[in-house]
Amino acid sequence: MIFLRFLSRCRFRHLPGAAAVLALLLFTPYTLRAAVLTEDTVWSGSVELSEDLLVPKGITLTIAAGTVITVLPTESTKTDPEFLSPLNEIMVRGHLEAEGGTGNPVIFRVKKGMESGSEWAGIIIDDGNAWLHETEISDAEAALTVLQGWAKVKRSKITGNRYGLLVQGADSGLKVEKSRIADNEYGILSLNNAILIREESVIEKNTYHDVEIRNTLSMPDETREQSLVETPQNITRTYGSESLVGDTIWQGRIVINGVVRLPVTGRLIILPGTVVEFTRWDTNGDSIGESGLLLQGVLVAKGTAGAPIIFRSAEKDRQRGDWDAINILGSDGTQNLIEYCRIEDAYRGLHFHFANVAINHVSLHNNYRGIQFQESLVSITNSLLRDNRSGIQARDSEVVLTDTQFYDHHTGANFFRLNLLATGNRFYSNQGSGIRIREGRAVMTGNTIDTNRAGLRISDALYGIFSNNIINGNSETGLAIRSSDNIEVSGNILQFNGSNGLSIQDSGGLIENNIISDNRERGIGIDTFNGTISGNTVVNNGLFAMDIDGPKPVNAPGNWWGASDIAAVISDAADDPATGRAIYEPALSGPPVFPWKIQKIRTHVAWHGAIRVDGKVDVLRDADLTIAPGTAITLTAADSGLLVTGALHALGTADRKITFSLAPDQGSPPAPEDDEPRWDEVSFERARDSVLRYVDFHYASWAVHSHFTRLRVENCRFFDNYGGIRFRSGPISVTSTLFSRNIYAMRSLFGKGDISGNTFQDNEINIFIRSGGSGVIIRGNNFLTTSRYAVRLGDFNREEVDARENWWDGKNPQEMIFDENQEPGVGRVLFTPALSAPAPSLSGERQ
Amino acid sequence: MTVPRYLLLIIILLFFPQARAAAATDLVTLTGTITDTEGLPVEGAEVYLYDSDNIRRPGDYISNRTLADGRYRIVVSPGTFWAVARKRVDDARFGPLSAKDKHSGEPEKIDLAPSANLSIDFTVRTLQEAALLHNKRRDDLFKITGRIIDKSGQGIPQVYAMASNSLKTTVQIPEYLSTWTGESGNFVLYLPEGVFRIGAAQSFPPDTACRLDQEISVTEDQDAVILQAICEKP
Repeated sequence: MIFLRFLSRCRFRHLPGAAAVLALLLFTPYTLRAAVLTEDTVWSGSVELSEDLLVPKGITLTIAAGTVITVLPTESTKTDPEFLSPLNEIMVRGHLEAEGGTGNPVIFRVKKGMESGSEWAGIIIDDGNAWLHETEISDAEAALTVLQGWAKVKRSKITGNRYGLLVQGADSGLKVEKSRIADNEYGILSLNNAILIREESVIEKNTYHDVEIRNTLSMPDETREQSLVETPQNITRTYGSESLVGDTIWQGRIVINGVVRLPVTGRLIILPGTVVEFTRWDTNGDSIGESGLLLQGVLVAKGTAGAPIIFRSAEKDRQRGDWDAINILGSDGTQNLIEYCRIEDAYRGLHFHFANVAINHVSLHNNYRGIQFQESLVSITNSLLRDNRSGIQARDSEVVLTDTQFYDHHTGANFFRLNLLATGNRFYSNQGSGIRIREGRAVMTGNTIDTNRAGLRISDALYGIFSNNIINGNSETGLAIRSSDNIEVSGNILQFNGSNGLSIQDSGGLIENNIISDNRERGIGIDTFNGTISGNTVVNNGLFAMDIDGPKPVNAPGNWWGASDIAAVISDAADDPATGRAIYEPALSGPPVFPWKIQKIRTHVAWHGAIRVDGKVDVLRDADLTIAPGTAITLTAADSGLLVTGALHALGTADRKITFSLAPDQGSPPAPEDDEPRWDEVSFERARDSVLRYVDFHYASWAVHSHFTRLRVENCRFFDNYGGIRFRSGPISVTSTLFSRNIYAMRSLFGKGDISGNTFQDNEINIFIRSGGSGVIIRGNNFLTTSRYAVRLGDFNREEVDARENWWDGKNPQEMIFDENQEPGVGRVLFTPALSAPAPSLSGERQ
Repeated sequence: MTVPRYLLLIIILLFFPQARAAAATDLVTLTGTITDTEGLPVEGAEVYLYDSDNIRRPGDYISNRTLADGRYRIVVSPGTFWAVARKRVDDARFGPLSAKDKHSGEPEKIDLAPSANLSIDFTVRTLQEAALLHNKRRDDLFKITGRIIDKSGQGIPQVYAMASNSLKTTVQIPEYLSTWTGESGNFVLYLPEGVFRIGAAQSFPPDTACRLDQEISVTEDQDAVILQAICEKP
C-alpha cells in the first residue's frame, strides 16, 4: 500500500521532482492492487488494475486524457465490506473526473485477450459523483453504476458491457450527453425513481433494451424500525487497548479507544441498558476506525426489549466505519449470546470465525457490513439488518435464520457454502440482490424476497429446497438458478418481477406447484434445464410464459398456462429452430389447486387460478393482495379466512367472477340455519382502501367483516352464509350486490355506509342495524322475500335510519321492518317514499 | 509409406528398453476402498480425477467401477489432481448427480509424484448427507432443547434457561445460558458431557436468590427437556 501511495503521489503529482524515475515509469504500465486512495490523485499513461480501487469521501481521482486503464479480471469471494461486487471494481465515494479529449479518450477495458463478457464490475458511484468526458468503457458488468449520487457522461462511448449505464434510487441521478451507448446487453437501466437525463445521445443496438425504466413497488415504511428514546448516561469506564481478565461485567456507559481483548478463559457479560461506544481510532488513514472488541472467550450481551444494549460510535458525527467490529474468534464451545442489542457505525458489526453464536432481537444499522462470519455455528432470530452497505456475508457455516429482516443494503445476504435453514425472513429494498446462495445446502421456507434489484440468486449448489416463499416485485429476475442441481422449487409465488419470474441456466431439479405470474417479461426463462416443470400456474406474464434460449428440450407437462393457444405463450424450437423444444403436453385444462401455506403476506401479491386456504392469512399493513378475475378460493372450515390490514383488491368481472367457498372436502355445504362448519371470514381491520368487485361468497360464518375501513363492494353475491357483511364505522359502499339465503345479509354497528341498488332475497334478516344507525343510507334496493325483517333495528339503536326509495316487493314496508313501532325507543326507519316498482339494478333477478 | 504413430511408439518401446522403463515409471497408481457412511464397501462406485478443482465437468480420469469389495484402482501420469468418488444409481457416468446418487463431498487434492503410488479411501454419501458435513458444532458439545412452561403447561416467553456444572444450587451468572424464549417457551443450550444443575430465570442477571433445582446428566443430545421452576425476583 505504501508503495502504491508513493506511486500515486510522486509519479503524477510531483512530476518534476522525480523526473529520472518517472521517465521510465511513464512508459511502463504500473499495477494497482486493492487500494484506497488517501489523497487527491491524478492518473495518466497506462494503469493496470488488478484488484479493487476505492476513492473515499473527500478524495478526487482525476484521469488525464489518453489514459488507458486496463483491468485484470478476477472473481473472488471478497470479504472487504467497503466493496460491493465479487468482480474488480472502482468504487467512488468521493469524486471521479475522467478528462478525455477529442481523439484522446480515457479508456477503461479488460486486459487484451481476457475479454469475454462482463469481466469487471465497472465504476460504482456510492454516495459520490463522477464526471466522465470523452471516456470509453467496455467489458464490465455495468460500465457505470450510480447507486447514490450523481454522474455526468459526455461525448463518451459505452459499449460491450452487460449493462451500459445503471442508475438506481431516488437519491441518484445520471446525465448522458452526446454519447453513444451501444452493443451492451442493456443500454441504460433506470430503477426505482432515479433521475435520468438524456441529451443528443445515440442509444441503440443493445441486445435486450436500449433504455429501460423500472420503478418497482413502493417501499414499505411502517415495518421499519422505530427509533428508541434514550436516556443520557455518564461514562462508567474508558478502555484503551487492553486485555480483560476472568469474568468482566459491563454496565452503564463504556467508552473504548483501542482494541479490548478477551482471552480464551475469560467471559464478558454486558448487562441490559449498557451503552458501549468506540472512538474513531484510525492509525493507517484509510477512513476505517480500528477500535473494537477481539474476543476469544465468551460474550454474553443479554439486553432486554425495554433495555437494549447499544454498540456505536463515540463520535458526535457518527459515520459508518467509525469502529471495527465485535470480533469473536475461536469461541465455539459455550454459546455466545447477543440479544436485544443495537449495533451501529461499525466496519463489520459482528464478525466471527470458528464461533458458536446466537443473535436474537438484534438491530444492525449503518455499518459497512452488518454481520460477517465463517466456519461457525450461528443462530439469527427476530433481528433487523437495515441500511448497512451489505447485510450479511457468511461462508462455510451452519446457520439457522428465522424471522429476520434485511433491507436497504446493496446485497441483503450473501451466503457461500452454508448449511442454511431460513424461515420467515424478509429480504427487501436491497439495491443488488436480496439474497445470494453459492454452493452448500439451503432450505428456505416461508420467506419474502421483494423489491430488490434481483431477488434470490442460487449458483453452483448441489442440493436445495425452496418452498412457499414469495419472490415478488424485484426489478430484475425474481429467482435465478445457475449451475445447480437437485434444486426443488415448490409452492412459491414469483410475481411482478422486472424481467423474469424464474431464470434457469445450466441446472437441474424440480419446479412444481408454483404461481408464476405478472412478471414483466417471462414467467420462466430457460437456458439449459434438466428436470421437470409441472403443476405450476404460469399466467399473465409480459412476453412469454416460458422462453427457451438453449438448444435442449425442456420437460414441462401438466402446467396451467392460462391460454387456449399454449404455443403462443411459449417460445421454443417452434419459434426458433436453434432452441430446444418445450414438451408441454399434456397441459392442464384448468388451474391446479395451489395450497396457500404462507401465513403473512407482506408485499404485493396476486392470486390467480385456484387457491386453497387452510387457516388465517394475514395481508399485512404494507401489503396488497390482488385477486384476478376467475380465481376460485376454497377455504377449509372453522378458522380459515383473510385478515386484511393492508389492502385487498378482488377484481372479478361479469363473466369471470371470483369465488370464495368452502373446500369440497369439508363435507356437504351447510344450509344457512345449520351449525355445520363453515369457513370464517374476510376481515378488514383498519385496512387501506379495498374493493370487492364481482365476487361470490358461499358458506362463510360472516363472509365480510369490516372495521374502520373504506371498502367498496360492487356486483358481488352472497349465498348461504350465516352472515353476508357486518361492519363498524367505514365508510362502506355496497352496490349492485345480491344477498340470498343468508341468516343475516348485513349487520351494522355505528356504521357509515351507502347501501344502494342491491337485491335481498330469502334472507332471514336483510339489514340489521345494531346501534348508531344514522350513518347508514339505504336506497334503491329491492327487498324481496324475507322470512323475518327487511330492516331491523337493534335494541340499542336510538337513531333514525334512512331507508327511503326502496322496493318492498309490493308489500307494506312497515310489515317488513322492526323499529319503534314494534319496540318503543329503538329508533325509527324512514321508508317513505318507497319505490313503486323494482329498482333497475337487479330487478327481477330472483335466485 | 507412412508408419502410423502408434506403431512407431510400439517399436520404440520394444527396441529401446530405457524408454519403456521411463514410460512405466511415469505412471502412478491410486488405489483404495469406497465405503458408505456405515463403513460398508460400495459396489458400482467410481473415482474421478480432475486436473483442477472445477469438478462440474467430465472427469479427466475415471477408475474402474467397484465390485462388492468397494476396491478401486486408477493409473495415471504424475501430477496434482482433485479426486471425488461417486456412486450413481442409474449407472450413468456423466451429467449432474441426482438426489439419490452418492458422492464424497468436496474434491480431495492429491499430489501424485512419480513412483508415489497412493492408497486413499473415500466415503460416499447422498447429496443431503454430504451437505450436512458442514456441521460446525463441536463434537464434544451436546444440544439440549426443551420448553420452559408454567403450571398450566403453557410455554413462557421472555425467560431463559441456565445451567451450571457447579454442585451449588445458587450461582450468580451460570456458565451456560440460553437466549430469551419466544412465545413457545422453547430453549436451546449447548453443554459438554457431564452432570449439570439447570433452571430458568426471567431477569438478567438472575436474582441472587435464584436456584438451579433440576439436575441433568448430559451424554448425548436431548430434546423435550421441561423446565418449570422459574426463578422470580422477590
